Amino acid sequence: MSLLTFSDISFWTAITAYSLTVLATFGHLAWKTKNWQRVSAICAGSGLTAHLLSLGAIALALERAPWGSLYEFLSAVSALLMIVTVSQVLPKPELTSITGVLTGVAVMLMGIGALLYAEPTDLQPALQSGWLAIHVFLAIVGSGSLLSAATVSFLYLRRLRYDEQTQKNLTDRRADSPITTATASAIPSEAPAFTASVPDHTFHRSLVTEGNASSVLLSRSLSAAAGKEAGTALLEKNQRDTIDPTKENTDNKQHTKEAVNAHKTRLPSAKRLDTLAHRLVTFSFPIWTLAVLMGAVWGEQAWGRYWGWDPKETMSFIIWVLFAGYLHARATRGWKGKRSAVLACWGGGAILFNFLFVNLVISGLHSYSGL
Amino acid sequence: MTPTRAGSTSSTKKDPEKDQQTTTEAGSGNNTHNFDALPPVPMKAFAKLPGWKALRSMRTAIWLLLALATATFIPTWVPQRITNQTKVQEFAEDHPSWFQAFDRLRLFDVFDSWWYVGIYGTLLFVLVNCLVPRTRNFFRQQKQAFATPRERKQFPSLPCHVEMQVPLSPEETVSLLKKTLRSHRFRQGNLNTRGQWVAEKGHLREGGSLVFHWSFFVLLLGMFFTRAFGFEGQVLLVEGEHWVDAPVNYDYYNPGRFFGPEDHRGFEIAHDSFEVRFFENGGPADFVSTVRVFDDTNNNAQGEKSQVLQKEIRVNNPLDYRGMKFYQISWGWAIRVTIDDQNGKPLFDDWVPLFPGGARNTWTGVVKLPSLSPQVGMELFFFPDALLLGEEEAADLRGDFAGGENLLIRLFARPGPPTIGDAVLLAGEYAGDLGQNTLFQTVYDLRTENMEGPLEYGLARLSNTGYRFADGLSLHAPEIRHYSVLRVKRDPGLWTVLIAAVLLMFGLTASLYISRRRLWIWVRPVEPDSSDTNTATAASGTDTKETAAPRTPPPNHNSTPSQSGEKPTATATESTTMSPASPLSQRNDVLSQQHATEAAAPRTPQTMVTLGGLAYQRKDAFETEFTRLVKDLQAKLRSNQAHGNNT
Repeated sequence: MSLLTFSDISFWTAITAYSLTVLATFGHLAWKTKNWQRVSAICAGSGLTAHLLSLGAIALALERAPWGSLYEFLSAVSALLMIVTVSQVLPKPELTSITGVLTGVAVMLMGIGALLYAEPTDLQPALQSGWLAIHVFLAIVGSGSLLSAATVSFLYLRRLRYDEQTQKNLTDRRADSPITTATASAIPSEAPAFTASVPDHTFHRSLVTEGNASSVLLSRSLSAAAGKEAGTALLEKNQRDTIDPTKENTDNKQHTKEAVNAHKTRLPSAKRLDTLAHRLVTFSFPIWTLAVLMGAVWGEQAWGRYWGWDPKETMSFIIWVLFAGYLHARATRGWKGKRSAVLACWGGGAILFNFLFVNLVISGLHSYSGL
Repeated sequence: MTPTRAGSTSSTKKDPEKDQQTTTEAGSGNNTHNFDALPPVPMKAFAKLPGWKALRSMRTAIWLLLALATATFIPTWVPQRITNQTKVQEFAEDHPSWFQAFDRLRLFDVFDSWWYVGIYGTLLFVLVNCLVPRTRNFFRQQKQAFATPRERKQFPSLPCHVEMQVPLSPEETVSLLKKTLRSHRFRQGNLNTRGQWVAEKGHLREGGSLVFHWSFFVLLLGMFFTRAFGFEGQVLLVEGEHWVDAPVNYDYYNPGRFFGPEDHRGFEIAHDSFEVRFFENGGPADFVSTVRVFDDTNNNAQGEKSQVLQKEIRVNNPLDYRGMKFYQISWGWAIRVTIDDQNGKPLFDDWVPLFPGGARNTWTGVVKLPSLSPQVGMELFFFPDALLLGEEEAADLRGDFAGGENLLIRLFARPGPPTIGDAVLLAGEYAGDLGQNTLFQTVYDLRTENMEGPLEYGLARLSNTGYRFADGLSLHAPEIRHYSVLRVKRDPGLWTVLIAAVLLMFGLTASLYISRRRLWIWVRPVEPDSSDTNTATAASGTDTKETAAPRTPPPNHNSTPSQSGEKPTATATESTTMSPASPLSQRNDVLSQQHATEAAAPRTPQTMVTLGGLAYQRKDAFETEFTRLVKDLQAKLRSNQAHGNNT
């Protein structure tokens, strides 16, 4: 069996494993048993291993970086997406629920890659340079993680919308029913199910990021004491601090109803998703910048100019501008949250457009798709 | 204990009420930009103009960024003159009315259009407007003492804080703390009269951000240099050709505004050979032009040039000579075509470059004979390795044989790398008006609108088998060679652009990854009765907030030198009160217990140290950093005491 055949087999193994991961995450969302989660973790891990082997085999067989054609490039980008997923999302209990979506994006990219399959071959002269390894690698890491950030931002928007709707429903309902103050005993002690906006384990951190340091101190000290009163006090505190309006609702039946509804999305809290997206952009934006700059250096060497508004260069610039806008928006009042997330989503759209449309439809100096 | 930095006066002169405000603002941890509230810069007259505020707001900048992205997206749909001149021409011919409108909007040169320049110009203006005050503030902050010290009751509100009792005199403690913080690379402010000061780290975040944004101007400066003083061109060199660097010898010539003909170096290049290698699958593996450069090195006799270097120019490996760079761009076949009239008088004898045609392994070119009347143009098809089918075989492929086209149909390029085998040149003759002055064309295309043809197809083989057309013209193709296309460039702004790129990258990384951290330190002598309360708080842990801070300002430790006489000599003791937020709390309990068992000697703590810290970014990482710092501090204190004991 040649190395290239092995690479193809591993590629399809990876796609299968990722698809199983997606199914298992949905299973986990539906039935919430630990086993589903275990299955999805195993599938994602083994899929990623097969995927990396597939890329490694191409590199070994042709003695070059495994991103010479569009098929290989898309495969590498989805591998990067999966590395982000497996390392940043899967191990964190509050984030596991979005594994499925990220893996889904990876499977989609790999599927498109498989449709555009081109037998891995030797490189044309312009690509025969040490810069291929550097520039394209950076482009893969940059676009892969920016794409995952965009996906997370998209989920953030879904979550925000859900929260808004719940809030609206609640205010509507509150107008009908009389309101009394909450008693701590009415609330289940672990992970208050109805506080959809801030799950328990992210509570401290989210408050820290809000800068409400004193309340963190207090709640921490209380949890350190670990007394029963402390627990209830914490819950009270929790209730006071979260924006969730249910805290003022005592009707037990309504609580359970609310709990069921809240679990319908099972997405991480909006705050957590926003933080994750921001971290991913902070990580990948300099990498994307470096990828563009290294591309310019290579362009200077191979084509005799560092910037020429080639379709690919133009699109990279647009992506760069959109995510720069995101970073600025996130620090600007009025743009924080929703609007900055929309910007990130546009950035993600631009990345997909860059992968597919620019590579396949428009011809330019970067037309190396191998088709 | 002497102030380490000059300029302390300005901070002490500050209005106390305002100081208080600053502290609380910093303590809330929400503000990302006002690291320090400095006295406001007096407004200039123009700053009061309406709209001026919008021109320095981040919101405007974001909208402009969006506009920039949208405008940059247009070239994806509309062909651009700078990248694809032919497509623009096609568009003009296909939709003449649209072309007019589009061209008026400068949609074919988006990047030079007034509105694109307007967008990024405004963006840069907003940028400068933001950057100037920020830069000024940044440098002022470097000189000035930083935030104001905190009141005791404010310490517990910090995410990390620690309180220790140290058996050293306040003076010793201060110098020790200052030394330790310096070794942790904290910039430190001045000690105030109450024994408080502030230390900061991570100013590079703001600095990096400023460098990042300013570097765009450096980048644009470099680009401007290139456009003004640079030059760009393209040459097509047939093997064996000698070429002299002069404006007329370029096939494409685009000098910068301030680049004149006198700026050409006038050296000579001989294109000795060209080599192209192929992979087994037919894809190109490598192409190399071997050239020799001749130049007038020693300023000897006029026009006398000697060989200065020999070089293989290949893709990714340009020739760089005296600031002129030659890049291998593409290659092709050039065929020598001779055309004689009916009397045998040569009409044309030149190398005709051929370009890849539509079909695989087919090359096309053009010969124009404007001197004849009617003018004659020939369309050339070259097959490096052709297979001439028999008439019957070709007839199977297509039923009708009309005119000379049968020859085209009967010629098949053999698959495989385009190497010379059974080479065939096919020429289609047109007669009429070439339209050289009326129709848009380059030397490489033939416009047949005003011409008749193809009148006749002539087939010539390389082995000197010519063809005689009906009108008496005879065509020969005696020789074939490679040609090489080189892009020639002079780019005086390149280094500036490179420096800008490096600055940009460093600035960006610093501004995203460095976090700003601040420590508030308060060193004061322990009050005789307060030591008990403090040990008590260490036990309960939670009451930190409730432990009342001494309302009266603590005595200035400068005024209590007598205390140093009571320095304990027997053992090192320290009691520590940690805020529950700090992960240290457990370890410190152990530590103090250890000390308690080790040394049963009486505890005589003299100095109380309160240390609070806040990170404005990357808060999780700061917790560990703070822990490390406190640990180091305690180690230093202990070793200092041990040292004190020995002597």
